[in-house]
Order: sequence, then C-alpha cells, then structure tokens
Amino acid sequence: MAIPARTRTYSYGVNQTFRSTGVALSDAQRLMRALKNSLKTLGSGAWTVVKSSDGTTVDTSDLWDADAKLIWGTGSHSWIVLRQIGMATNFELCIDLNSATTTNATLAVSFAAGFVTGGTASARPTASDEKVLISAAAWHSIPASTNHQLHVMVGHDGKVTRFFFTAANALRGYADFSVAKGTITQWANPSVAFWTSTLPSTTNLWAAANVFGIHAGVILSLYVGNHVYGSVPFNSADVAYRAGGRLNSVSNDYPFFEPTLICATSGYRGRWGKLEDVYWAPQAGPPLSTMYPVATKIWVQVGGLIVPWTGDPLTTVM
Amino acid sequence: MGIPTPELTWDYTNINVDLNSTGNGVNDHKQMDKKWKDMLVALGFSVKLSCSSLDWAVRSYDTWTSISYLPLQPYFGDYDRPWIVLKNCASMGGLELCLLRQEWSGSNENNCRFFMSRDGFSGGSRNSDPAGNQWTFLDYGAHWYWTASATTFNTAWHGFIGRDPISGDIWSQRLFILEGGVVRHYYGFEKLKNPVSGITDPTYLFMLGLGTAAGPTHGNLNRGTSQPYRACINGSLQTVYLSCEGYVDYSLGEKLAVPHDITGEWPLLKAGVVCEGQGRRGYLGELYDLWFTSSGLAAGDMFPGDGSKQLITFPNIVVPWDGVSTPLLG
Repeated sequence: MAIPARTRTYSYGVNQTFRSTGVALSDAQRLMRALKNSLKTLGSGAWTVVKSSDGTTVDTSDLWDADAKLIWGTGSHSWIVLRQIGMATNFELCIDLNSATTTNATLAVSFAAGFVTGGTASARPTASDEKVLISAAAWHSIPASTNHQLHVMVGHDGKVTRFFFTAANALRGYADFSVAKGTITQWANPSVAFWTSTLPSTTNLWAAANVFGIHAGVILSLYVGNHVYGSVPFNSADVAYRAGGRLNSVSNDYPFFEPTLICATSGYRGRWGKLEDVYWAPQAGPPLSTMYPVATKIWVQVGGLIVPWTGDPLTTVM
Repeated sequence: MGIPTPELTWDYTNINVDLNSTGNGVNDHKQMDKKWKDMLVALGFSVKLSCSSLDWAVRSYDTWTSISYLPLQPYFGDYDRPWIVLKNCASMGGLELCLLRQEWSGSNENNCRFFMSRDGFSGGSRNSDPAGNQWTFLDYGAHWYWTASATTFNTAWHGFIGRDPISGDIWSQRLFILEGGVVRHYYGFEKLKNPVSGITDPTYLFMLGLGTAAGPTHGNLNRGTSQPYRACINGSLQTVYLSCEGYVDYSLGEKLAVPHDITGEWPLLKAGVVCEGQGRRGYLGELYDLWFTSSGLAAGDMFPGDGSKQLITFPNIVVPWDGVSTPLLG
C-alpha cells in the first residue's frame, strides 16, 4: 500500500534527550517543563499559557520558568493551563501536579469553555466542560533513573499536536490533541484528546473508548476504528498468524489504515470522523523506530500508530 | 456521509427476475438449477460443455434447456447424470464452474455437486464427471439450496454486471437469490480494486454462495465463520476475508444495529480483501461498489431514504441499484 502524504506541516521538537539525574523529582521537573516549553514554542501553531501556579503564586503568566517551580504535592502544588486556539477558541489543557509522586499528575482538557473557575496555589482551576484524561495517576512510564527522550510535534495551524516519551528503547507515554477530519457536519467542535502513560495500542484505542471529544455539551467517549476481519483488528498483535502485524507477502509492505472515531454511547452512536495525519500500524511487526519510507522518514511508528516524523533522512528516534 | 457514486457502469437488465413455484417441489428445485445457469450466462458466462437427458451426449452447447432434461441422480454407481460447465468471460479470468445434478441418494433435490476450476474442465460423459485442476465447492450430500427437497417455493433473482466505464470490460458480476425476503444465495465474481503491488495474476476473486439462512452477512464475509470469498492470487487459490471498519471485536455495522444517532444515516463501510495464506498474506485490495452496512437493515432496504433507490441492501452488504425498481424479495 502506497505510503500516504502528510496533510499539514509540523514543527518538531524530537529526540530531546535527558540523562537521568538519579533524583525522581529533578527528572520529573525537567521533563515536564521541557514538554510545556515545547508546546509553548514550537512553530506557528504553538500553545499559549493562560494561567499557572508554582505552588505559591497564581498568575496569568507562565510561572513555570525554572525546573524548581514545578512542585508536586497534594497540598500546595504547581499547575498550568495551556490554550490551543487552532483547535477551538478555548481548547485548553490543564496539567496539575497534584500528587506526592512525581510520576503522577492530573491531565484535563476543556473543549470550549476554558479553565475559568477557581485556581489557587493548592487547587487547579476547573472548566464546565472539562474531561479528566488522567487523574492523579501516571503521566508516563519511564523507569526510574533511566535516560529518556521527549518527542513533540505541533501542526503549523495548531490543529494537531502529538508528543511521546521514550526510554530504554521503548515507548513510555503518548498524547494526541487534534481536530478530527471527515466529521459529520453536526459536530461543531471536533476537538479530541487522548493521553496514555504507556503506548497507543489496540487495547487502549480500538477495544476501549479512551479518546474524548464533546458534542452539544456532552463528553463523547470514542473508540478508534480500524479495519477488522475474523473478529480482530487488522494490526492485531495478539494473533501472530493473522495478516496484520507482518509484511504483506505479496507487496512486501505494510498497510496504512486511517483511524476512525466511533461512539457507542446511546444517543451518540456512529462514526464521527477520523484522526488526521495518523495511521494504524502493525504492532507485531516493526519496532518503535521504524520509519516510513525508510529513506525519507516522514512517518514513524509509535506503538500501534504511525505519526509524522521530521523527514530528515539522518534523524531517527532516540 | 453522502451516498457514494458507483465507480463501475452497472447493467441492471437482470434484476427483479421472478421465479414462481411450479407447484411441485421437485420441479421447483430443477428450475433453480436451470435458472442458475441462465442467469450466469446472462451475466457473462458461456456454456462450455453440457450433458443432459436431452440426448445424454456431451455437447459444447447448452442442453439444459428444459427442466425435464435435468433428473437428479444418485452419486454411487454409474448413473447417467446431467452436468454443465460454464466459463466466465476473459476479463474475469475465464474461471469455470461445473454443476452436476447428482447427490448421495438421488432423492434430495436441494443437494448437488459443484466444482470450479481456474484452468478449465474437459472430458466427461453421461456417467462420468468432467475433470480439471479443480476445487470442490460442494460434493455429494451437500445442500446447494436451503429449502427442503419436497418444498415448493418462489424466488426472486437479482443479477448485476459492473463494467469498466472506459473499456466496457466486465469487472464485477453479482447474483443474489432471495426467498421470502431472505438472501439464500450470493454469487460474486469481482476484479480487485486497488490491488497492492506485486499482484500480477489475475486479480479477481469470487464468492460461491452456499444455501444459507442469512446470505452475505458480516458473519460469513467479515468474521469468516461460514463461507468467505475465494481468490486466485498470483496463481494460488486462497480463502479471503472481506475486511471493513470496526472496533472492539466486530465491524461497525455488526456492532451498531442502528443509524447514526445524530445524522440518522446508516453506515456504508468500504470492503477490503484480506488473505492469511502463506505467500499471499496481507491486505490485498478492495472491492468496487460494495459496502458493508448495519445489521439493523434488512434485504431490500434502499439508500438513501429519499426514494431515489440508488443502493440496495442484501442484507449486510450494499450494492448499486437502478434508481427505479422496487425490489422483488421472493
């Protein structure tokens, strides 16, 4: 199957490598601030900081201006709200370090209203239309005291943002904030969000409704559809003899299937659209660092998905 | 989701063909065999060889011209048996089908023997089968039609020819046989759309319809629990699935037996072709103008819902319709 072209251009902050300090807090502070900085600075589609807390002060500016300003805790702690107007007027991501464990955090999105209510040095602001993606739980799965990398890509118009973490040659977390394409006309704000501390996979995308959107004030829980046959998705890693997960033995290549967004909740059932610039990948076949095409490297496999990569023939995933 | 525009040019001359009961169960089954032959010929097949009680000679023309020439015969013993070999047109690979009116006891009219060959059949006589490099689809003791042997019944036949709009070559032949609103048989002969690189020979596939209780469904085409398509891929006969969009375990159409709650539209899902055979494994291509839909629809339901009758449901797949006719359902 021919390798598809990307539909938009991206600014990349990939292979940002961090050698472990051996101190969990220091590693977490550095990585989370690097993520915030990447979102805030990458290209014309960058996110903006709406408000933040450093555990002492709350302000509409970016108070996360030093690693030490990122305070984890259940009492006074840091949080930040980032806005992406490329997705919706007030599409916002709130990162709340409300745990004593630095590998935990609360990640919430507001699809339209914004985090306008509350917000103190000990409690994040809330939004009337918020969806908590992760609640005081693991925001990545990087092993302790392990060198790790951050990879961020932001579309030129802000409609697509994806990032993932790697460590010890494995994917350690993945997130997608994007505007769906090919949507039903009634979906006025087709912004969707997904964050996993592990990897995007058949298990947490195809078999579970973990992508979230909103329609008419109701949060949509969405499955990510794939081509299926014989009761398994094409790229099933669980059934090795299946056609997916392996090179096509006729064409000697892999298929690229578009991930669709399907809701099974009564009142909202049906296909709502597709994810843009991402494809299902064979999971049992190529490893994390596989590039498509091999020579020009415009896509990279991350878990069960294939996402845009730099296109630099010399840049591979660290 | 709008209604897709068919890519092939469709000939609807052979839809809504009514086959009423003769009033005699044995004759009803005989006329099924003859009509099967007549319809496939109308869709582009030709009679290569035949043998019947007309004269019990092997002829290179059609001797299945009357049901009175088609006695069903026992399988064991050298009984005279009617048989016919049909050859498909060149653009569909020249596949040959052989139907023999012969079964275990010679009394079960809803049974027959059924073979196909890519390389072709030859030989045969009044009491011996034509032979070839063949694949057995049904052998003695197997139903080719669902309705019991002595039962009388009416059927409705819908035959479709899809042509390449440029060359006029036949690229698709479909035959649906309905009884009492249920699709009992589905025959599909298809040229592969968008074949992956590396497929050189001859890029067609075919479905031979067993008598079933439900017809072409998600279960027997997508999940593969019954009789999936077969395909010749680079010279090798393979069993293939038709894939489509789905989640959790099954196709979207099987999971959601309702139209979209917001748009009110029923799904139309592209049908892909997937093979697991060694050396032929992978996603091989797609089908022209055939979509999976929701199991909440029934055979004969039309797309869209405005009366324009552009597509028809049979019952979990959707194909183009003539835009005018009300479908007979048998």
